[in-house]
Amino acid sequence: MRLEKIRILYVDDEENNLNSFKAFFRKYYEVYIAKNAAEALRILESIPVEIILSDQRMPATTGVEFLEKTIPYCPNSIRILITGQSDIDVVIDAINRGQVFKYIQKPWDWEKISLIIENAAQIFQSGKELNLKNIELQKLNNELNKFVYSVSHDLRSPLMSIMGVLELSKMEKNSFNPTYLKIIEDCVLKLDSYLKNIIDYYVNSKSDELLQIINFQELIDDILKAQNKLDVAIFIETDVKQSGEFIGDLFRIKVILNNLISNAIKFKNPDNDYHKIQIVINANQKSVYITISDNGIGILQEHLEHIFKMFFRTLSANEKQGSGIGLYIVKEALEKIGGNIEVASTAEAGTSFKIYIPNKGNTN
Amino acid sequence: MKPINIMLVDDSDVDLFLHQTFLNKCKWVNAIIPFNSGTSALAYLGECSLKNWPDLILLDIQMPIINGFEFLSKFNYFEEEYLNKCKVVMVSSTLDFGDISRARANSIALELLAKPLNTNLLFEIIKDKF
Repeated sequence: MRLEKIRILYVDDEENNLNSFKAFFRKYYEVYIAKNAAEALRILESIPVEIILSDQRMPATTGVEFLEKTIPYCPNSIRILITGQSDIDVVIDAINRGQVFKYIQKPWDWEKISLIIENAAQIFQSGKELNLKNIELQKLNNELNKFVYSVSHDLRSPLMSIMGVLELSKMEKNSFNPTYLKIIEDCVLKLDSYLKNIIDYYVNSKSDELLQIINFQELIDDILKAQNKLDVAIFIETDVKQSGEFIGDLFRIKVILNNLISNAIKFKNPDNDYHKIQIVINANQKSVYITISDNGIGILQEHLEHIFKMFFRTLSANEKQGSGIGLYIVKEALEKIGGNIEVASTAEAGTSFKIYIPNKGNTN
Repeated sequence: MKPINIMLVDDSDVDLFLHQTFLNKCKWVNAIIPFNSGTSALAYLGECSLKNWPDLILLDIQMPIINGFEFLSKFNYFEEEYLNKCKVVMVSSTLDFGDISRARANSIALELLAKPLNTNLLFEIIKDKF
């Protein structure tokens, strides 16, 4: 549960009541008070209040009328009516029109009111959590739809290309044409990297953080060793500074760096005389900042805001294309571990990603 | 039927290569001009005279930046006589029901063919159109 204080708005035309209410509850809640409905609605315009209490008997606007008016401002808030009368019509009205959660009868009983407010706060909180869960589920469902769509194309497409090559080999009665074999190999590699990406994505979305001690120099050496060795023409410069122990999710950090580094390699600028990738890591007790810069083909300004979306792809100048899932995984993984990422890029000149990840060993 | 000129629009270099190789083996094909994006193909068409306008466009569906359907809605702005000269057939590896229905419902595309391209099937579709 959040440590944020619950906000309460109390409306009563008797100033004494307002003041003693505020004095009693201000320790536990953020208390707003108003002498009448108009003043209260002005507060609601700018402050999202979780719990609203109102006296029933007020000049101008009654409590029920006021509570009814608050519904458009904050439909999810908990509404409580306080009254001295025990008029059944008022009760019915309160429930039907004012969407009132509790009905408190005067005289004041601080203990009872405390309990009711505490209860209301809990209900508000669980409603909020349910909403968050719903949003998360909708997002997952959306992703699943996109995923099925993408599988129906991206996974099939290299297979159909292979089918085409086989067809051609049959037609030409030449099953060892090196060009054709190369095409098949490329298609298989593409398919394989796509499958690996999907697995990374799946692991990231399902598993909890797994904390380990991380040595960034070892990590980066590991990652570079595993990258495609075919590109010897790329000069990779690393500068790793680490002071103290860093605790983090090794798997996710590896996935993040792997994706960014392989992108930097993949999207090199064919017009360049030399290809350079610079990796700077600064880790301390609090956090780590990692910058990965390249002099590759860069990203068009209008594409920058979309690059972290699932299945967003561009056709790059060197005609290489990603799966549209790599940077999405990067962003999702960073979200899971409380980090963030910034990108700066100039088309034709290069791209620079800057990552921040908090040190989970930092107890402050 | 006089041999026809074909424009290929596909973001996959492999498929462009395959389609060119397949079509080069067909007697009814004259010239083939490949494009790896919808935007570059549209730019070419915008500059192209009616005489050199392609007879047939083989159009992929899923492409970055503009996909096959977006290509068609932009293509539709060309003048009547240009549009009349040119037939469009979509080619895709898709199994997505939505894409398949959209391609079938499109008024410009004659047909949606599955990848890998079967040139005999393609010929059956277009042979009466020229």
